Amino acid sequence: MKKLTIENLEDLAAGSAILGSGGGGDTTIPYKIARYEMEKHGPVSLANIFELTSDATILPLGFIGAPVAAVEKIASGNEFSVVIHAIEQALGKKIDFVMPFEIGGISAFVPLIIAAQAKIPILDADMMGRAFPEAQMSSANLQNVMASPGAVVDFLGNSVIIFAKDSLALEKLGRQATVAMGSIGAFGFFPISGAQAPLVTIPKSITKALAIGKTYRETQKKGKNSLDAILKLCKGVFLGSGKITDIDRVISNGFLEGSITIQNKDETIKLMFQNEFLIAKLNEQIVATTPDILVLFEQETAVPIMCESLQYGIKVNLVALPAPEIWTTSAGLALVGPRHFGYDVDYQPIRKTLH
Amino acid sequence: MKKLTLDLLENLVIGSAILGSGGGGDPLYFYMMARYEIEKHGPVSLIGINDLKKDDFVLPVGFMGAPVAETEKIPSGREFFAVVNAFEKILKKNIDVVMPYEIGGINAFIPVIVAAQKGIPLLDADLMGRAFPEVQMTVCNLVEGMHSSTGVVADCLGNTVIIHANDSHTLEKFGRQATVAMGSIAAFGYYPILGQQAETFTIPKSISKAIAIGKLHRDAKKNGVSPLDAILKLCKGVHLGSGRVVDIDRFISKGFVNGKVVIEHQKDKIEVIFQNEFLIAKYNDKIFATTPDILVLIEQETAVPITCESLQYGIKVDLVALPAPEIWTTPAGLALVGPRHFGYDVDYCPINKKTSPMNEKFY
Repeated sequence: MKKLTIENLEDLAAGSAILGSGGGGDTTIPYKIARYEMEKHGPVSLANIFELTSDATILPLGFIGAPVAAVEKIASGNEFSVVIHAIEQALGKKIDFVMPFEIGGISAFVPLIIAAQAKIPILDADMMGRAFPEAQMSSANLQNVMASPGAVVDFLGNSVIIFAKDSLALEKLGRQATVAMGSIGAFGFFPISGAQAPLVTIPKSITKALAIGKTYRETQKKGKNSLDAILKLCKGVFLGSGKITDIDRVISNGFLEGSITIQNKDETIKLMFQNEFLIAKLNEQIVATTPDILVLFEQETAVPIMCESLQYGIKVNLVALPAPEIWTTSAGLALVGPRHFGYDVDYQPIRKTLH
Repeated sequence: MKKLTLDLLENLVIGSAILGSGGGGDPLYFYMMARYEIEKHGPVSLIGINDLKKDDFVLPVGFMGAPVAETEKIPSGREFFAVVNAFEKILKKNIDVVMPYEIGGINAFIPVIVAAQKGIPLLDADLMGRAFPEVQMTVCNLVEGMHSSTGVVADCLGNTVIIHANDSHTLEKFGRQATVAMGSIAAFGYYPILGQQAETFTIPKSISKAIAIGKLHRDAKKNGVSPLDAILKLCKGVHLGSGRVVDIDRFISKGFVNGKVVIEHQKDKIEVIFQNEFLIAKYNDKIFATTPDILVLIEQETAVPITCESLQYGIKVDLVALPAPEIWTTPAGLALVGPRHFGYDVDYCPINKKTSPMNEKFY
């Protein structure tokens, strides 16, 4: 098993922010909690999928709720062990490995915190390959894995354990529990076995985020163009750049929704979002859609920007990285394609010929 | 040990509706379900607190949510078992006895259904002595020593949510949200107690009381006398007024039915304010009865108690008040269920024959 050390954390922060596609939440605080726990308890073990025994029990976990709430409602750091305990009780089995259920944003750090605290190894995988807003948008759901039991725990130690008949019901009940907790809670669900893991997870997500973060940071340090390096690494495409001239942003149904307009001399780019960036239009023509990973970088700092921190007047670059393959199948698109989010358009794979 | 037979079950319908104080929901479906189960499995044993063994596990069960949702979202009958099973798994013990947590309305019948199906006894007690809208409004919350704030919510589709909260207010909040996600009505169980704790944590004989009220009501109707007088005598209640419903202002907000009803008789006006249950009665703008006393509106023609959701313009009604269980009129009790808790800046106003407007020239 590999080791994850404090030196890796900054790479993970950069990589998970990029894979967050504008969502997933600001990693500042979870990064600090993870750092603190690793300083106290030492590095954590990172297992790959081939190092699992078939009867091992793996629990994906992270945060559920509105990322913007996490900014002012800080995690206590104790909620994750309550999640583990609740699921162990419900299953009658010990949890042998933890993993992030989504690699984008703050959920990437949650398994690190509990792994350091409880000396549980982390599985190098996730169930989204990016960030998505809802619990049923999981690779395990594509394989009809039972999502329950799930557990939502708040920073005061209140816990809600859910046995739902399917993953949509789990999303609904988990979401309501989270709202009662102040819109942010630690969440564990889709417990799986070692035998299931290769079939129902997206492998090597953590390694991928680390690699993206490392490339990004090293090119930044050397004063080179980090964008080109990331596009090359991820086989992504550059979609356009310009200045943000309009932001239309509302919070509705527990999501952050809206659109922004980016303008340069001859082009107008419109970018629609719901927690994550969903659809990009260039001069009214759709050029990229979910599940491809749309990322907006501020030009000056080269920092990826989240939906909640969009600001009028900043200059940005818009890029798209290809989605994990499972999401571009018809079953995948039914779960996370543009139509699921209420846009009457087909998924449009990103093309390099654009610019 | 008594037996709860079909005949007594019918008494429970009227008795629980009266103690519902306008809330607690229409028990029709639950009466029918309980009837079906008793016909199938035989009468249910109704035991007193003294019949409990020290280590018997007693589980209060019922329904949580907006009573009005229950009229169109009919239970499957399995959700109660999901609650009992979840508790048996959590406690690693069998549930030996069930009881209602609230005697008012539909929740009087849920434990009867569970007891009949499971073949276990029903404890003659509840945690409220009437109906109240929120789960923390129980005697368990007034006495020292109740440490469990674990609750289980289950819906008719087989979804179950287990809540381990730090206190009963949080349990109410989380349970309410789970119920909303389940379509505003769900089976609920909480405050599992041991036999030896029952005396401290329950209001005894609630079921017998409801049955006695119901019997009086039915007998009086059969004999062609006024059920109202008989009930007032039995419960030491007060007749507060009569008249016609001339105005109803009713809206659903935050999962509750809120509003007021105006009753007029000649030049006099009675206003009753409600939030699921009737909370405050005013006579010509002067408050003369409040929660936790049990305010009941009874339709004159049929002598049937009316729930907040079935109030109708034009009907003739009698307004009566029955005294609240004593524990609710203590300062701690009033802090939990008094008028101020519901947002009314007035003191509790104990009912009294002398202050009843009926004493003045109401007719």
